[in-house]
Amino acid sequence: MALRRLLQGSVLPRMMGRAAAAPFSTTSGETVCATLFPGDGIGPEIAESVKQVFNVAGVPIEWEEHYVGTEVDPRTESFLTWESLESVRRNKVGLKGPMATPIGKGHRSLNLTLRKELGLYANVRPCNSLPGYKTRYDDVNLVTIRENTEGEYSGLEHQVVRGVVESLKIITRQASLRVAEYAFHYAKTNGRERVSAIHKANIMRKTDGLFLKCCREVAEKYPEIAYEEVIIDNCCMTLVKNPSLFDVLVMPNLYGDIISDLCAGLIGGLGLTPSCNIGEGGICLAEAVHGSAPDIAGKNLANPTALLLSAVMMLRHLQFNNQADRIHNAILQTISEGKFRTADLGGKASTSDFTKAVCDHI
Amino acid sequence: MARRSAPLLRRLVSSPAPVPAPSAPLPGHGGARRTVTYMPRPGDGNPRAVTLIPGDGIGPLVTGAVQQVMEVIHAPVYFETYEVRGDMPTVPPAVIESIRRNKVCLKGGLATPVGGGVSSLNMQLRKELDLYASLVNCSNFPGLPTRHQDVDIVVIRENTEGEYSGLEHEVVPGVVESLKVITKFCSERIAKYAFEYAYLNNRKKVTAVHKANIMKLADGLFLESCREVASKYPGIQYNEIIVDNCCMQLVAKPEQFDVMVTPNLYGNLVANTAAGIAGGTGVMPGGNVGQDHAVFEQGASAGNVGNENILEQKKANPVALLLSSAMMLRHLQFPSFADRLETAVKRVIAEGKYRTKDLGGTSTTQEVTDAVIANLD
Repeated sequence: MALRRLLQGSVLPRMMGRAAAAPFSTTSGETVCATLFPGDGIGPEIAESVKQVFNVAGVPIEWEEHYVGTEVDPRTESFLTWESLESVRRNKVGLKGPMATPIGKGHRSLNLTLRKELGLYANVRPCNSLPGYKTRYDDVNLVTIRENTEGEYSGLEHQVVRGVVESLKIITRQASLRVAEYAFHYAKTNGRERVSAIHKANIMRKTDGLFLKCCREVAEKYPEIAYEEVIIDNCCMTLVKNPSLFDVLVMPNLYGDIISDLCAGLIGGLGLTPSCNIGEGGICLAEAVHGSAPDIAGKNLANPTALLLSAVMMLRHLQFNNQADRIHNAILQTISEGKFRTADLGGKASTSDFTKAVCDHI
Repeated sequence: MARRSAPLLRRLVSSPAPVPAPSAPLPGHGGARRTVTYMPRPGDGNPRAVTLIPGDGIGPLVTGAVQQVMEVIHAPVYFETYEVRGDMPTVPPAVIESIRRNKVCLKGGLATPVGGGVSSLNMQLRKELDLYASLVNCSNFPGLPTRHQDVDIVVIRENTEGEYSGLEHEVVPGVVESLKVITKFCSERIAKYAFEYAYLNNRKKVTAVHKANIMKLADGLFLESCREVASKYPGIQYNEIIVDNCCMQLVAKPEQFDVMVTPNLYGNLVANTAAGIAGGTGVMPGGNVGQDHAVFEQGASAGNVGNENILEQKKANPVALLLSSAMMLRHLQFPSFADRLETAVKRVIAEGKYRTKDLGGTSTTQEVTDAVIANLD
């Protein structure tokens, strides 16, 4: 098992006494252990791509692979075993491929299990237009940070009387502060200039009002980062007209869900979007947000870009910035050259061809 | 009435599907003339009273434009103007009285201040008059370049309940709850309105937007109502789409959508997104309609009533409100006036000489209004 040394007096600001992004030593030369969930469908193939690329780039990561089980583990009430979750808690870093949700009752959904057990409170999606892959929008360069635990998705609904249903939206100071802190911290460590809080506080005065209050409090601690508040309808309209006006967006759960998918659509879809979930205690679980595509599973046709870019996010979290940059540039170069593109981008290359091209560019 | 004119009449009398401008945008008269075979009843030409609420911000500017154009075409409407500002505690009862009497209202914009204290006047108006359907027509205008083509979407949004019920409270300090209420009654009537609209306007498809995979009971109830109504209109295609996927598809392939029916919050987002891709909220018409009353206003306002710069320089875009007033004229059964107004506005947009800032130009409101007046048949 690899040892990790926490740097003293790190570049990361204090975050309410919690290390939200534990820095890892890059100079020790020791390998870092990371959990890998290849997932279902095309998952194993694209996980293989990631491993290959990491090998070529010389990333000192040792993978601990875990698979979704075939029976429900009573300790976790889901198909993910206790061991898998413990592994992520121990390693503090992980990469997850697409997982198909098993149908049926008596168990929690896989994503819900991961979120609750690991305390994943923020979902981060950087959306950048890929040079060379033409979509209708060329200048997208933003990051959406979405609160992932409460809000409208608390799952608290009930039928009051027949034909009348109530659904509760919960906003707490604690969760809002936590995600706001992470957003500003992310902006600072990644050289971003502006954070926009997205809300509908003119209608939902108390709930979104509380969210905004927390964002403002955190904004005061980061005077070098510009802060603004944008109403959600204005945000949607501006995103489709002129997405370059946004930098970092921080939002409660529902708006975050919609806006992050909208932004993914701007750059070309979920097959190209990286994503990372931040959890309590500095856990970082990078994941590919697309589906498991069972129809092309095993045929070497899948596009590994999303998982590769998510893996790059994971590397940056681990502060392996050198390798992260090299791999990122290799991916961008391969896509922009256009010689090796998988079917979903309009090309004819196979997964292994694309992976090899990326490796060659490193 | 002759059978042949019945379908034409139906199309003209109800809310409009977008009318393509004449193939060569001609600056003056002499374009293809629309003949309206419509037989009015005696007395239909008597002027109708319409409540006018200029509102805040750019509201007075754009309603002024509408009033000017209405005068020039001698439309048989006269306006009863009422002063309402966004920071008033409630809508004055005189205004509500007037709308109840006239049944039709044209509204500029009412700002809703952020933060505590004042409940939204827009919401109040909707609840009082039970305007349960909000309609936004989002379609491409020939001559106005956008990133997306073939956009022709009508977003029909439930307007009274859902996430905007305004029922919030603080449970303990630092924990706030907001109630989202969905009732079968409201879901059913909005679904009925959506399908009826599609039927009356020869629309082929209705899409219900929801998040029932997460909010199983609430959005599940909404979907149930939509499905029930869909079964009564076998000629209209019906499908459902999850709201986050919907936004992604709107950005990637908007041509797949036709009529969309949504609960309150999602409708707000979808309408603004659709308006954005088709040319911006400055040009999309829309309105709110209930059983007895109708209020016409700019379709999607993106939550603002214009910033100070636009106000000072008088560069607000009057197109949306002009087109909404054309919708209002049809609602009042004055189709030829509506057609003339719409044709003129579309000619001005297609020409491209007079465009306000949000469309990429530098004209003022007055210049655009004058251009519309000049282009009237």
